Amino acid sequence: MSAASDPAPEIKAHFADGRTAKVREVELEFASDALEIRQAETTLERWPYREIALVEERFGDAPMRLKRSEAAGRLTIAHGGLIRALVERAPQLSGKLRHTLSLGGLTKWALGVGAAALIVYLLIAEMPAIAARVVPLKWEEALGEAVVKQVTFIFARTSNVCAQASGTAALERLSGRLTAKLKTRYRFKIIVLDHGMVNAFAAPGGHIVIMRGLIDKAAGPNEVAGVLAHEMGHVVERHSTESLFRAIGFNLIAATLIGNTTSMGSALAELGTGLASLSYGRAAERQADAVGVSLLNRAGISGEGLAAFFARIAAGRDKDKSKKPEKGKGVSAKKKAENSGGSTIWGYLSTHPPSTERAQRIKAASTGRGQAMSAGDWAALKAICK
Amino acid sequence: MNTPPDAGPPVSPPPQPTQPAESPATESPTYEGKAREVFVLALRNAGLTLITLGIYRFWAKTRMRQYFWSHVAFHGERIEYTGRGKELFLGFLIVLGIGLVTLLPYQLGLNYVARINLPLYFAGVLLLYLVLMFLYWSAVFFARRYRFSRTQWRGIRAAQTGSAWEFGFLGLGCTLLNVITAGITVPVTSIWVNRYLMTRTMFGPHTFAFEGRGGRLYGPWMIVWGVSVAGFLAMVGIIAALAVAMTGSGTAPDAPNVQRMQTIIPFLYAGWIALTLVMYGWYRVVQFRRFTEWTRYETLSFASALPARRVIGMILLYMLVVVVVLGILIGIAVAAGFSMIHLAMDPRATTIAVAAVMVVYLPAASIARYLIVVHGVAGALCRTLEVRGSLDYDALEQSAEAMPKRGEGLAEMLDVGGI
Repeated sequence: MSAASDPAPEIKAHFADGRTAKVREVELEFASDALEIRQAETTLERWPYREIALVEERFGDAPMRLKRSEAAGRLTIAHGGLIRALVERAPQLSGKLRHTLSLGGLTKWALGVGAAALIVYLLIAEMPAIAARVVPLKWEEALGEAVVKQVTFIFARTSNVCAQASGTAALERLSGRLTAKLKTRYRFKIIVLDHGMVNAFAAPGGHIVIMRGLIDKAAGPNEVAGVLAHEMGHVVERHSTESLFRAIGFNLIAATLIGNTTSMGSALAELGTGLASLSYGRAAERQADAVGVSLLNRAGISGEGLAAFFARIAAGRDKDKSKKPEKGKGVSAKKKAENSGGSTIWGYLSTHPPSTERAQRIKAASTGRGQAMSAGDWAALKAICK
Repeated sequence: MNTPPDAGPPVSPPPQPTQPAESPATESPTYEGKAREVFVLALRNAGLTLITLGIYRFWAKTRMRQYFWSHVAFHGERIEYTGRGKELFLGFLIVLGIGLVTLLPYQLGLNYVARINLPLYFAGVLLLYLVLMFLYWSAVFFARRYRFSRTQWRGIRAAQTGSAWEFGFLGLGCTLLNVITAGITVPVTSIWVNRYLMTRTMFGPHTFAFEGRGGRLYGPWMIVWGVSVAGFLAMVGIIAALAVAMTGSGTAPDAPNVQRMQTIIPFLYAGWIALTLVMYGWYRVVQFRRFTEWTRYETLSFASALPARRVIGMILLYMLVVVVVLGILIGIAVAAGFSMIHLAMDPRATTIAVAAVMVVYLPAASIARYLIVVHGVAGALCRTLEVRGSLDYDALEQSAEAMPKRGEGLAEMLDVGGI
């Protein structure tokens, strides 16, 4: 550790001044406040220690490349002793790239993070409801059609849209009865999908999709009517339109987070936010319940059905033993299992979390006593997929 | 005070600045990246990207570039990447914002137009595709301009001049021409595109020169084109023959036969795609070698002997890794009883799937890409590149070309490839 000996002549650094591509062999002088870059007794540049920065992360014993602030000149030091001597005077060079923290920089970052948080909040919390109010009906109907198409496409392998004439007529009579006294801008378009999942959902613009499984598992017409009225509540309150806009906002954020918009990650994010958006928050479910019960009341249909349906679905969690054989279309065993009760829990429960409180509230608000459909209509509806 | 306290042994041999006049006639750049370092860096980046929900990726990309750039040296001096993560991030945010206020309403409007006027809808979709294609080529230009402006060697910056508008229209026109001619014009258009870029690429005050001759690309291209077309015809032929064999008895094809066809066709199709891709990969390497030959910089000329086998092998290995990772994920999903329907209808299932992709697939794919494709090819690329001639470094001055402030936003949005 000889502190004061002259450096050997070969211990030199390399310097490119950023004006020409010339790389010179230079000597380094450690002055008290600055590094002097010298060649043949002339000082080429003086770099104050505080302004010296690493050009890049160093790996292993790679030569150290240095710059002065953001200037183009570059100093390369390979010699271990020189590096140590410099690091002693410019400690910021000891580790990895380090950016200095300044108040201005911190303010900028805080503003940036705040702005990003505000954008996220607006996109997810505020924009959807506003957009759902202002979107023209025609646009909303087109959006709903696209959603229904997407869903029927996903289910296309195992299901079809059921269009048995007398069943369709029965369904139309039911929806007509429910909406007779309802003033709304929507025309309801209700389809039944031939699939065993116990579920129903509303898409924007008055589209409602009922899965065959829900009709199969219903104890009577009042349960189907209750669920239908509830979904109509979602339509009237524009919940699905709102959640679709929320999904779009979500997608944008997911695309920002995951990266390339065409990558597989964001494709999944889209799937996740797009269709899962068919489940709404608890407040929205309560609203839809309230609208649904008022529709039932006005039509004189008992609301007990909807309450009972929730109770039965919750009970169905245990196990579903009445596995109905699928109409054979060469479907595999796996698909059969998926079509039967196995998906009950995954279906209605996950998009409409039932609770005793909800059932009780429905019962309390219900004034109707009547049946939703005639026995003949109910039989026709049950056979709509035949 | 003016001497280092400890004049220990050099930690690595000092770089040798070559004196211009005496430099050897031919020299290759060197790549000294280490697989272990690339792996650790990529792993760390993947972890940080994950816990920041993806935001870190701009900084991650910057670190990777910095690593690869700084491990390539020529004439004893390492290249340098001066870009910053913040620049990439800001560029991305701006493009995202513009996309949000333009493409989103357009898409929603199209949805509506589809119901009232079908021809107008198709015109709208066509226009959208044309605009996106134009934007793709502009993105290629913006990304290249950013990367070159952030590349520096011996203290001198590189630059890409020209206009993203011009290049966007050139690229759009070339793509349309290639589509119309079923790919026959690919060698010519690729030369046009490359000439536009190279003759506007600068290092210091001087511009690169590029003199392409389509004739020397047509041989390889016609082989690729011919094999691909022949493969396609063979595929169609096999399917037709099978269909005839099945229905030959005059009866309608029964369910098992239809099912058999349904399993055979995807395999044939995948085989054809794989064949075409491998052939195309080979062509791209050949094209790269020719383009290198046709490029000049002042007194320097270039040659490349990049082996196609190496590049294709690395890309196939990378694809294998990705397929295996995906296969394992899908296997687990199937074993757990997931199906497309759950993914579509159940928020929990979709959440799990998205999480699995973010935690397993994206990090694995990113690490594999850097380690196998970029690191694996960089060494071969440098070793096989020959630079002839010498430069007068004393006379090579910094150019006054202004640097773009932000980077690559459009490329990020449109998934333009590259490191």
